Formats: sequence, structure tokens, C-alpha cells
Amino acid sequence: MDRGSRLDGVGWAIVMLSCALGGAMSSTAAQQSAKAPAAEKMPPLSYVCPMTGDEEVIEDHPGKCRRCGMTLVPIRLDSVWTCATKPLAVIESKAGRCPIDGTPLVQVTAALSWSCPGSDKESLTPGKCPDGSPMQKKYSPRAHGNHNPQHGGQFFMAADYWHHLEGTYLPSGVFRLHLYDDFTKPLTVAQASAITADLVMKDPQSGTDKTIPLVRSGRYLQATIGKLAFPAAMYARVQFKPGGPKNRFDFTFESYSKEPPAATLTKAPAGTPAAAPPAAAAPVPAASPAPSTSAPTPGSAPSTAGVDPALVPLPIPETVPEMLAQLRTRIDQIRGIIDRGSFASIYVPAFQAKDLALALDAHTQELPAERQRIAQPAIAKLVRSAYLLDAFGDIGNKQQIVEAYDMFVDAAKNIAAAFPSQP
Amino acid sequence: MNVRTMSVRLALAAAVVAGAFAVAGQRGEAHKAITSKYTYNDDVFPIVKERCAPCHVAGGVAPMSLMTYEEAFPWAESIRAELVAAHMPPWNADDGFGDLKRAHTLPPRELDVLLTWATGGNPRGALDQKVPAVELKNDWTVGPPDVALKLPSEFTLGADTMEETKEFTLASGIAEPRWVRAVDLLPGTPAIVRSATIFVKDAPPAAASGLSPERVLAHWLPGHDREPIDAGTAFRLPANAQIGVRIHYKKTWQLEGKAMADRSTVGVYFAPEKEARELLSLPVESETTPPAGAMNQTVTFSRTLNDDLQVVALSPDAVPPNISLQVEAVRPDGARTPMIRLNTRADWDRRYWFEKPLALPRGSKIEVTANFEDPDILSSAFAVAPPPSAAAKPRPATLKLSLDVLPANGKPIAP
Repeated sequence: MDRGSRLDGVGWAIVMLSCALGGAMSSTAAQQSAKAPAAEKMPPLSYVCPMTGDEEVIEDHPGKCRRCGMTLVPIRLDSVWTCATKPLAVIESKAGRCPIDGTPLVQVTAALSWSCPGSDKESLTPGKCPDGSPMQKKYSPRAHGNHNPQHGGQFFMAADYWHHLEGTYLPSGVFRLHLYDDFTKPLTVAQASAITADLVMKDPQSGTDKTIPLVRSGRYLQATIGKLAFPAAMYARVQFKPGGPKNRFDFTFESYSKEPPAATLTKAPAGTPAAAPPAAAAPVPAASPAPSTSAPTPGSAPSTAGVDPALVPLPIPETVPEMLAQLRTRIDQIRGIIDRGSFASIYVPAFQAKDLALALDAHTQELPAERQRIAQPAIAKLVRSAYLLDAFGDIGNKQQIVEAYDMFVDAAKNIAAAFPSQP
Repeated sequence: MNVRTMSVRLALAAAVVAGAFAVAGQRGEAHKAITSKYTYNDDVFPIVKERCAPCHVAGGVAPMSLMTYEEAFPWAESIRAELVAAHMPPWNADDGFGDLKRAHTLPPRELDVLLTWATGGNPRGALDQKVPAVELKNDWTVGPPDVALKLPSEFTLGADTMEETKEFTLASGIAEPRWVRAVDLLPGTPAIVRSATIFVKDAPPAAASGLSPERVLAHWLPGHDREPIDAGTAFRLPANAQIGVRIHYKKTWQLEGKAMADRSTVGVYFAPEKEARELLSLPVESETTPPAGAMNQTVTFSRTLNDDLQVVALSPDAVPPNISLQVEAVRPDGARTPMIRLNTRADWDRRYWFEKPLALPRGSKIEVTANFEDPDILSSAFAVAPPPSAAAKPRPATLKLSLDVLPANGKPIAP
């Protein structure tokens, strides 16, 4: 099944969600020189809500915000690659290495605009400045535009869609919970002070669960849990406001977390095409102002870069046996992801499996009626469970992920049972 | 559109699967904007018009219309949640366990279209494209009834009342006993008539076998067809019967603070045959249930059949919301036949009809397993409070299901 975006039809890559133009963070974004604007292909216009807290409201046409009624503002959203430690300080169109610290680039969503040096005015199209020079390209962060771990840990979004967090397990035997907002900006000390959490892990001696309170230290919460055997599994129970529900986040560490190098951007290295021009002298947003106890390890890149799996269409096999075989493979892959605790990537095989199941749906007409009655509900169930896995993968609760997985496996089993065995 | 709706990520090629996993596991995936290749105008509207219009239309019983883009897109996140949780379309049975008639479920492709649109930015389609206007249809679903009985008086749901269940009694005025094929309801004010149960009052006690005439003539739900009883089978309506009508009135938030009046009409359709097989009822009841608040408990109970019977339908008569029920037939030789698996909800009570009558010999057991763990993992994950009506509904002292059955060797008779 063609999973291309609606935008594929106009030849555009995926656009991503971000924040309103004119937000406080926009002024801190790096800028780039526009190159041959006339020939440049621009991302399409989207329309977003300018109200703080409603940034995720986005439409493909002008109108009013469905939440607050404010007039939507136009925006161009782009998917770009940048340095993990200095988001938007460097902009690339494909994966590679950060020219600042050598770490792999990560993919983020950003708002694209053009402006002139010294001017607050922004344009959604390139043009000329009063002095005749070309306007400069500018990328600004967007809400939910950057879900990359900032400290080499595991990153999740909370069920309230606003809080985000990252768990790290440091070589010193400390578990640390970094807290962010929807821009992946670290919470202020005041914001973090409202949050309480504890950590549940197996006691290495007794094998029973033990609960360790996480103690606030500035903007993050942490506890010394000692040296555990890998893979080290644990979960945090986080209360984002007093009296609120406890949200569970499961972490499985294959090794100690490694902080990316704490690079500083003073001057982009030579030969970096996306280097910021002098006009970008505004402060670069700090990726992680939280202090780190682990020593920087230059060159020890977190394995965060690579092809965005979402951008590559899935080829569907031609025959039913091949489809069923691929479906079995997806089950194994999801199981492996759950075991590794890499929940954020569950959607990849889950949605692939969904597409395979929908392709099989086209073959149910070839089945006798009694088998159709097994296959079709099973396919619908697999579609639903794929979306459940996606939802639960984002919030990182292993127990719920496993429940959705069980539903997924049950559906896949029934699909396989409905189709006659093939040689 | 909620942030979550941005979280749909398109799939990747099998060729890069292994490599992608190696990197994706550590990378938080950014949320994307308009990724849906399906638009409201071209793809979503035809589905919601076909599947949702009886309720989700202006003046309908649902809290929102989905019949225009402007009406539908603010509910995209709700649409996602309702579809993923299998709350909508309202059909509490687990499709695929047992063989039921007229399952009100979405085909997989339609489900995917709606979910893709709901999570992928909710694109409208061409701005100058107008979808046809859809209006509320409030008419008899199978044509005018043989007898139409209007409620004795108008009922008003007060301005300060959001929902209420009211029982009315109608005199059938039919002097002779008759076979009845179907009974339907025509709401006077469709926006507040959420469900209705129509039954014969003053039912005689059950026989020693446990069998008694089926007195529930209809479980009525908005937008659903009349109950699919087979030809040659009928409900017996005694002479001069008193007909009870229990209506659940419920306002949507749009009607809050308004007094709403209703005077619905009950329609009776006679069976064409002079002789028919009478539909009988057989209860299956537990001795006790776990106390309210007891979670993760399982109760199993059963009923052994004293006769050779054909089971044609099943109704969950007294079950609490938010539990799962599994019903199987166990024949004397131990062979098991799945009948139904239900995730119960506070609303949407109905009778479930089997695709084919289930022939069970004497000595067979109807085995019910009730699990009191809330089956709705989506709501619990996102800390969604249960609907007030679900939370307020008291737990019954026992669990009770009713089977609709026909004696295996029963002959058609006069009413």
C-alpha cells in the first residue's frame, strides 16, 4: 500500500509539527543565507494557532483555531537534520555528522522563514533586503518538533502531550530523569518542582521490586541505584502535578547513557555549508542546560542518526505467503523492540504490519465465507492494535505496550489462520 | 487536532528495516503535520455519511455532527480514540468470536482511512469542493407499521436534567393474540432518545425448564435496523397486552440547560404467517458478583440445558459496564463453540443475533466467564475518566444474560 503523504503528490517531503511564528524561541534560531531563492523549492504553507498551548493546532488552509478561535497564522514547516546538542545551529537536508562536535545529525521539524539582518520582520517567501542583499533563511523550533534524547538516554512524551522526559543511567550508578516541555526545552526549576516521581526496579539481591524515590536536583530528578547488570530494566512513576495520576515510563538500558559532547558554537567549521552567518549571532538555544555528572566523551556518538523510516514507502509483496511471512517478521521485530525498551520505534513495524494486513484484506474475497468472517475482523483488529502500539510507544508504558502487542499478535494469528496454508 | 494526531509516521521500506531499527530505537520521532493522503471531501465524508449519519448529524442523538468538514475536524482526536478503543461504531461484541448477524463494525480499509485522516493532519481536500448536505432521517426503518402506538403523553426532560430513564405503559388495543415479527420506535425528538427497551408487561412465570416466552420485543438503538428475527419465528403478543416502553433520554452538551420534550411512537409489525415458532427466553445467571471496586477478578458461571434447543440470540440483561464477558457453548462431549465475547459499556444495550441458530443438545452447558478488569486499555493509559453514566451505574447483585431459544423440535403453532 502506498503510504506516501498527501504532500507527496506535490513532490514534497513530509512537513512536521512545530510552533507558531513569532514565539519567544524564534528569535534564538540560527539563520542561513538563502541560496538562489528563485530556484528553491519551498515547503507548502500550513496554518497554525498562535495561542500558547494550542501550538499543535495545524491546518492546511486559513481559518480560525479550533480550540481558541484565534486566526491561524501561516507557516512553512520543514524536516531538517541538525546537531543533537545544538538544535538548528546547523541545518542539513540529509543525515550526516554534526560539524561542531562530530556526532550524528538528528532529524527535527522546524519553521522556515526569511528575514533581513537586524530586522524582526519575517517573510514566508525569500526576497531582497533594503540594501539589495538576499533575505536570510531562518529555522525556528516547533512544539513536538524535536523528540531526540538530549542526554543520550531514552525519550518519551507524557500522556498529557505537553510534558516530555528522558531517562539516563549514568556510569556513576545514578538514574536521572530530565524533564522537558513540548519544545523539548528543559523545564524551569519552578516547573520541575511540581513534579514528583519514584523508580521501581528489581533488587539485585532479593529479586523483588523495590521503589526508590527520585530526588529533585535543580531541573531534574535522580537517585543513586548502583551498578546493575545489563540490560537494566526499570520504570519511573511520575506525577506531573500534585494529586494527578501516576504515569508509568519503562526504561531498558543496554549500557550506560553517554552524554553527547558539550560543544559550544563560536564559529562553524570551515567547509560547513549550513554554517550560520554572522546574522545568527543571537544565542543558540541550549539543548541541555542541565548539568551533567558524566564526563563528555567526544566522538562517542549516540546512535541517533539515520534514515527516517517514515520517509520510505513500504513495498508490499505480491503473494499472500510473502505477505504472511513479512507479517510474522514484524511480530518478531516488535517483540524485539519491546524487549530492548526502544518503544519510540514500535510504530515502524506496527504500521508496516498494518499495511501488510490491509494488503491481505484485498485477498479475503478469495477465501470461503467462513474464513472471510475470521480474516476481516482480525485485520480490523490488527489495524487498531497498530495504532494502539503507536500511541503507547510514544508514552513509554511497557505494560500497556505489551497489552497492545498481545492484541496485535492475536489478530495476526487469526489472519494467518484464515488464509489456507501455502507451500 | 491534538498533538497526538501528529504522531502518525509513515512506514519504511523493508529494505531499510534492519538499519532503521538500529537507529530508530534511540531516536524520538518528531510529530508530523499533514501526512494523511486521505482527505475529508474525497475519502472521509463517504464513510461517515454511510456509517455515522443516523446519529452524527445535525439534530441527531450524537453530541456532534460529522457531516461537514467544519463539524468533523475538531473531533479528529476523539474520532481516533473512539475508533482505536473500538467504542465506535457502537458494537460491544468482539467481532470474530462467535458468528453474529449484522455486526456494526467498520471494514478494515475504512477504519484505516478514518484513522489515517484523524491522525495525519485532517486535510479537507479541495477548498471549492462542496460535499452534499446530509439531513437527519427520522422515519420507520422498514416502512409504516401495522399498528402505531403513540406514548400516552409528552415527556419533558427538564432544563436542569441531562439524562433520565422513563417507563411508559401502552395498551396495545389488539383484542386477539398475534405473532409479532418486529417492534420499532420512532422518536418524537431524536436528539434526546438514546435507547429504548420495549416489552410485554405482566409476563407469566418461567416453566420448570427455565424457559418462558420472550417478553422483550425490541432493544431499540438510534440508527440501527430492527432486530433480525428469522421468518417463521415470532414474538407472541397476548390479547389486549400492556406494552412497556423504557426510554433512556439523554441530552448532549449542546442541549444543556434546555427543556426538551418527546412523544415517541411504538410501531408493531405482525408476522405474515398464521402459525409460527415462539421465541422463548432462558436466563443464565451468576450466583454472586465481586463487590464494586474489585478488579482483576474472574467469575465463571453456567447453565445446563434441559432440552434440545436452538439458540438464536443473546442479551446481556444485567451486567456492569467496563467488564469483559465470554460466552461459550459446551456440548456434552466437551466440544466448545464460541458464542460471543463482549466488552460491556454503560450504553448500547442490545440483543445479539447469531448468524445461524446454534443447535445444542440437552445436557449442553452455556458457560460464561466474566472478567472484571476494565478492557479499555486506551482510556486507562491516557487517564480518561469513564463517562459519568458508567461510573454512576450501580453494579448488579448478580450477572444475568438471556438466551433467545427455540425448542429443537418445536412446530409452528397459532398464537
